[in-house]
Amino acid sequence: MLSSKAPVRSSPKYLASLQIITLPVPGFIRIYFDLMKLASNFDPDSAIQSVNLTKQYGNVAVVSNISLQIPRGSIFGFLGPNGAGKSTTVRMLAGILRPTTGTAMINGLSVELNPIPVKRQVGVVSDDLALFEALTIWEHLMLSGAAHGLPDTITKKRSAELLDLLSLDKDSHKLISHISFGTRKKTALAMALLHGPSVLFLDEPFEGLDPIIVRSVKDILRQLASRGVTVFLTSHMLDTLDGVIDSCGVIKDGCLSYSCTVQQLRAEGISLEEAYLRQFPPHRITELAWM
Amino acid sequence: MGHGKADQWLRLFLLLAFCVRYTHLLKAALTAGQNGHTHSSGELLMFLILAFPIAILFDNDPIPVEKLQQYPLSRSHLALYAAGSRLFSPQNCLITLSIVISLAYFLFLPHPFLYCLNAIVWLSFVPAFFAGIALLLEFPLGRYAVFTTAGLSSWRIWHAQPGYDHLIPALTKYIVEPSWKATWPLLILDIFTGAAIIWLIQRRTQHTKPLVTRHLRLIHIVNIGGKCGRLIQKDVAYFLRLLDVQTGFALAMLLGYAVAAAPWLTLHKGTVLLGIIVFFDIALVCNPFALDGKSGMERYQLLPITGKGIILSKNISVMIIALLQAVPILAMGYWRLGSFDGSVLMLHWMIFIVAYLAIGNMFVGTKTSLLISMRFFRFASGGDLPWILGAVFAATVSVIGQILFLEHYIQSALLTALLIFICWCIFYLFCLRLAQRRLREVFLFAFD
Repeated sequence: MLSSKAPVRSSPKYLASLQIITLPVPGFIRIYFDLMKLASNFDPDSAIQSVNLTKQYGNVAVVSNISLQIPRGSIFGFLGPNGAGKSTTVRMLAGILRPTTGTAMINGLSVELNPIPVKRQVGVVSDDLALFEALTIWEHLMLSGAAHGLPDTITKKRSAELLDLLSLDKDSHKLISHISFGTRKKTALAMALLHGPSVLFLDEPFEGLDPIIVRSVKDILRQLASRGVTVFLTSHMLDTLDGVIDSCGVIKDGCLSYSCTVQQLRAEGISLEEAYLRQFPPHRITELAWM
Repeated sequence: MGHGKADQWLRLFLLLAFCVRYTHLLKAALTAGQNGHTHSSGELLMFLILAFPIAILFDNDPIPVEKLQQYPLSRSHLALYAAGSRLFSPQNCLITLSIVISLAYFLFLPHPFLYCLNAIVWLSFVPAFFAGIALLLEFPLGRYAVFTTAGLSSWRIWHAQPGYDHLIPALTKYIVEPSWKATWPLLILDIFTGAAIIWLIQRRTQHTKPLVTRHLRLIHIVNIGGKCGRLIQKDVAYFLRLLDVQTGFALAMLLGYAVAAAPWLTLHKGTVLLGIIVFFDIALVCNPFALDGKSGMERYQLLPITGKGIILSKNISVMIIALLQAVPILAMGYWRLGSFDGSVLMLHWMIFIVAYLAIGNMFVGTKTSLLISMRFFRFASGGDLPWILGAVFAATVSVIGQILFLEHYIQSALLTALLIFICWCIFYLFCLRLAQRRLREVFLFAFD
């Protein structure tokens, strides 16, 4: 949808490369058919791809039929109001949440069928940051490095650099339960970057950060994108996203209601905020005379 | 801790069963005490030790005082809510009271009313007991209270010969000859306990220091490389930081020495030692993901680690902590009981810990939510009803094995071997697989 290139890849050879030969439970049959659909639109230049990604809780669909193709080395902004389904989409794409229907692929690997190889390639800052309350920042980084198979020496070297870059060095031996929200966010970001992922999922990465760190993070993201890293980020801070993202999508009530590239916006002569507000007309402000 | 309806009914059933058995044993102990015998009191004591974990069933989630402070409530209101929320639910309390009183009426014939009165007096200890647990859970001061109590108990155990012989007859005297005079001390004790709770909770509302303040370097004891090594290191750090494992270790040493060195206790010394181990390790392994919380669980999902690696590292780290708490008692067993009985104790500890791991893994595999907060003093941990039941079952199996071993060596050795075999079969063939399947289905963990 976002990428114009869409070569067809539905050959048996390609399907075999997805490792779907041994499928022990009926649930996998659903994944098989979803992958067939996805394979028919497979784009080798896309780092993140999804077809009809849907999450339902009972009869309530939180996310409905999200189909995305995000090219390598680009930064995609996923926008929407609170409760629209941004975090749920991120969780499904990152392999934390099983979709009800639909499927997702990261660098050509099915998220559901190849979870470990996918997790080696992605870095995630999730909405609740996924940190252990009684570990220090340094211990988090060491754990993350070991889990990704990095030797201790490399983990320590990279950790020291990240701590310095994100101004975390003075808090590095504090427990997570004793540090501020912004510092936690930076810790989660450092963990996401430590193993050098090729795809980054960042859920509200700028929230709670001071302006200096926001600037640093923006610079890091642009630098990573120029090196071929794909970034998928969600944010409410539209002004912050200006100059960072290459393309964006707007989710409304669980459905992708609008998508475009920054070049298209420029061609139309509108800002990101204007494009967003077209989807969500502002509420009429009442007077609150009782206050 | 959220509990379903079925859980509540099971809880009530257990409570009834506990009350019936307790009343029977109490009656037997009192009757025997009148005649100068003390064997029934030993049985009563053993029952209370084994049933102790059930106390956790009645410990409700506390209302967080910090959150209540944003509302315009007076300090006394805050104290009342905080204390009340820790104690068991009022309806359960009323049902228990009425059932015990009605049971006591029939059980203590031909002097029903006399004994009913005493049953109420004895029951008044129950809320005081749970209030004590609440205090230990809530306040840093609790640790020192536990130390003091354990110190006094140890001294009492060591020099218990004269006191033990006269303990039940002395209590019997108070109970059988009830008068308002006899019940006064107990009522005064309750009043003081209540006053102490209010005072301490008021202190708590003034000083809201976080409980986790320690930076322990003990994590480096377990310095193992690799993915699983780091996970084990992380879990050991967690246990050491969030639970008072060190306090448990010190208390185990104190009580273990007191029991092992007590000159009057000869026959079931090994059993009592095992009972102490059971007490300290009781629920440590029952819910291995509890300390991680929702956020930690999500981190596991993000890391490229297989579910099998996570489960195994959890099991190993739990064994390390359980062993840490058991080591002083096992050493005490070798020192005071000799190498043979010491080895028997060791063997039964192994049965007990394997059974615990199996139960923990089984419930990881069957529960919808893996995240039940762990609590049970702060030198051990706790879990939900099935965890506690499983722990009590495992402890009972282990203690029964120990008792049988003392009296029938050959048969008990065979039984022990059989138990180990069954436990390991359950552990490998059922529980572990179940846990893995659950993690794969619910949390999308991979199992390469």
